Amino acid sequence: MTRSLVAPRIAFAQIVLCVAGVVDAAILASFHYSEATAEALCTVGGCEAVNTSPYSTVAGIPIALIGLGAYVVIGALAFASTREWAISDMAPLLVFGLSLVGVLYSIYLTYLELFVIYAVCPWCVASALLIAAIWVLALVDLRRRRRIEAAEAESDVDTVSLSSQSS
Amino acid sequence: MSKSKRKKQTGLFSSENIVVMGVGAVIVALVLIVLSGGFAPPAAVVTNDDRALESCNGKPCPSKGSANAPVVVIEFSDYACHNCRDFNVEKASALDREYVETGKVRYVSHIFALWPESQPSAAAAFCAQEQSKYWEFHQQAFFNFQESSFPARDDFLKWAQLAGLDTPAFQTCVDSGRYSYDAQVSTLEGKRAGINTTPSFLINGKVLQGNAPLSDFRAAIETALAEAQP
Repeated sequence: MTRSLVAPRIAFAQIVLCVAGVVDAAILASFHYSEATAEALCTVGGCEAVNTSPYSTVAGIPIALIGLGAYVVIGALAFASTREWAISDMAPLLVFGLSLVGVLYSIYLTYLELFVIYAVCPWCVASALLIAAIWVLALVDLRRRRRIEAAEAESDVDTVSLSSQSS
Repeated sequence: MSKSKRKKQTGLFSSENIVVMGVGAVIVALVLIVLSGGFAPPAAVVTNDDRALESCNGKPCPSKGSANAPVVVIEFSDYACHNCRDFNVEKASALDREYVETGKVRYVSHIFALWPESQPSAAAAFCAQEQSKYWEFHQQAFFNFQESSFPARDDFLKWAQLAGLDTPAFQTCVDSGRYSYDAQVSTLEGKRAGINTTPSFLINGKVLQGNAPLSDFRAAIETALAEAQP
């Protein structure tokens, strides 16, 4: 992959959003373990109610911790997409796929908050918005990379046809 | 744009690769959702052995009657619910006389807010409980019920005054918001148990919903008393 396909500004924005996501998920994870933290940091809504509900874990692991891990991985992949590492070419696709998982799962969690748990947690809503923004940026990035890839393929074809004509 | 581009893009960012990644993401999300418990709400499971709803976020819910009474009635009411008003104004005192004062029933009020707008009044109920005047407050809340709006701070203060609470201390408690969290969790406990309408009653674990006729309450309590006989 050539450096021309790198979109550092988009990757930088994704990394910033991931850092915010890590902080948000860390706060949410703390609600899972500490009532006092929930009372201090969540004066509006039902953060603790959501984060201690039967739906707050997957296979015994708090969802907030899974989210924290996901933000770290997505942020690392976004950073990798700006380098020239082995994974750099695939990184934008992986960021797109992982953030899409996050968006779909966030929609599910928001459904649970509204219709099952009957408590809305502002920090959860913030996380849903962050992952949605990361996904939208991933889409924009993919679109841009597709255009560049197509242009490069076209120029390769032109180069080949030119060289064949000259020979 | 070349003919080759119009035909098909074949690189890493081809439509096929993006679709495969998207489908993979949907599958992973679905697996996560299934592992999380899916879309079904938790089953309404309240049994005779389940005493959990007699506490409100770990604190004993307001209760009256003998601790050894064979039947436990747990009420879930909302201070903005007119059916709850009707029950409390028309029937509660009769049940008190017939069953609570005779030692047959221990009557528990699980502090609850059916609607988010009622959360402040549930928190205020905790403030009344702090002064051991919950039942007086509860009664005044329904005797001074207003159809048109959700009760607010001024209403709580009025009820507290009528109920004989230490009003300045109550006001401080309400303004501090120190029971808003307890009110949220107490409400959630009821909703997790399947309480989705008010008033609702658990009579030794069996649900009786709505402002039912007094005869229904009597029949349900008598059945529970008979079942509780050794």
